[in-house]
Amino acid sequence: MNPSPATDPLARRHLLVGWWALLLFLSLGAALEAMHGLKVDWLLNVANDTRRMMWRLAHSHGALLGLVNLAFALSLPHLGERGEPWRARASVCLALSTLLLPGGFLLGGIWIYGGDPGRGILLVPVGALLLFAAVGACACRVLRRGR
Amino acid sequence: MDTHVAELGIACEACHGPGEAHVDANRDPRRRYDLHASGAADGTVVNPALLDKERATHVCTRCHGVHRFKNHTDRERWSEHGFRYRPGDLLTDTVDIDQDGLDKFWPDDVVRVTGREGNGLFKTPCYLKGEMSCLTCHESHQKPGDPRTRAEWADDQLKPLMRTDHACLQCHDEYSDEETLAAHSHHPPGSSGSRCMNCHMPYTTTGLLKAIRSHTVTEPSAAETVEVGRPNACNLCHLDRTLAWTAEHMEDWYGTPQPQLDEDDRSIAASILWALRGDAGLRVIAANAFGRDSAREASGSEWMTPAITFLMTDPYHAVRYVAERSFRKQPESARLGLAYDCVAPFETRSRETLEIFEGWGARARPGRRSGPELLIDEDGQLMLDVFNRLVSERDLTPVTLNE
Repeated sequence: MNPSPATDPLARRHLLVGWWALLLFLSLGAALEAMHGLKVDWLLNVANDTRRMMWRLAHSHGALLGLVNLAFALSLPHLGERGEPWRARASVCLALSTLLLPGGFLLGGIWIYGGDPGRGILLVPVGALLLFAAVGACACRVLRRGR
Repeated sequence: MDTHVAELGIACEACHGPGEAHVDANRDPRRRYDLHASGAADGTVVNPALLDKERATHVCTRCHGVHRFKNHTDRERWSEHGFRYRPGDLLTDTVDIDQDGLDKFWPDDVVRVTGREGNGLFKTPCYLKGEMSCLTCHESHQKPGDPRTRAEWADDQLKPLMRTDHACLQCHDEYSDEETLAAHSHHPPGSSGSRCMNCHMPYTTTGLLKAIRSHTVTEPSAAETVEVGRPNACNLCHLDRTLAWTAEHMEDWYGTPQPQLDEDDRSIAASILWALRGDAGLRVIAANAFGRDSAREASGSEWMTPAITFLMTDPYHAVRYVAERSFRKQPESARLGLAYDCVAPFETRSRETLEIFEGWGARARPGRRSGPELLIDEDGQLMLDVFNRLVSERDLTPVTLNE
């Protein structure tokens, strides 16, 4: 029998990451809305357009990756047995991408160079690759178990 | 129509020159981040802030200046292919810069209409002998972190603090100490008379339905009023004083020789002379000065009502418009609740201004400020004979000050 998310430590870890990522990045969304409401120059000035875009991307990517973590946790029982090595690798890739992708956008928006984001943006492609690896691994597992 | 226009109006390339190479080069993010990291200038496009004073000023003078084509061929070429000048070039390679012409300049070739500030700067010692350019005080992009609102910045597009003495102290730092400055200006520290621009960039340029600061930085003198007719900075603030008063002070304080003055210049406030017998260009400058708060504080304001009211009957719309704005600061304005309209029919305007005139006369009281220089007798009544004489001497030369 496949382990349930409640008893699988890996699934529990991703439930934890998923819900906390959701809380964190939905809070960021609320903070951005508040800054819109208060017309904060640091976000809304024409010269700060890059920062506004970066932080919107951090908010949306962070919240969506929170949902991906929850989906991963709930999918684990259906994708294979505990101890299979792909699970640990996919888990690490997904967890790191949850940190690097929105984190890169967030840092990239703090210091900006006119139309270019700060160097924190370099974390984003790394996070994106890790996310592709994690999602790819899951997709392959689904395909394999379906046969 | 076969048009090759890429950008209409004042857009990026108007100041930065052709941008194709810049756009192509900066598609490469490594190049952009190399420039961010090194702080080096991007050589693929013109940055006016990095040009020498002459070329930087020419970028602005292309629009904010009076110039003419060197020959008919250039004019023809312009009409077919557009302006040949590109930012970073010398404007004088393409056109001749005009520095005279009755409709835009005072007789000493100082520009007197707005929108031609480049011509003003070209006659300024700070430009000729120093490094002053338009970008010494102005910026075309508001900098990040500027605490001013967009609207505050957009009003004249000045750099932060450039409405203050800081504009001049960038070079003339010997006056950064208020006491030194006060000793130089002979006005109390912090007063409007001790502010650099109020003496050296007075409101003698007309346009935008007001008077704006001259962009030729000059030393105030009574001679400039006598010789070229331009109001001097002293009498633009001390509206209740005669030109002789200014000439005496300038001699006492700075050793400036006194010019020959006629009897009116010795006995009647200069602002009244400008308002009553000046040409339309002078009258609008006087009308504007009557409404400036610092001038009203220095000069008192109750005595101004007859002169302002007279300007509200002026044949020029612009003079009437500016005079009305100044009149709104007079106590009579609130008292009468006047619905004066500067473009109303002549009869309507005449009736309303006569009402103001008579109301001001009826409220004469012993304590009212009087004196022959203000054309007010000891009873607080207008000295109509002198007033009418000055009006009869009014300079009726048609004036066209194209902005």
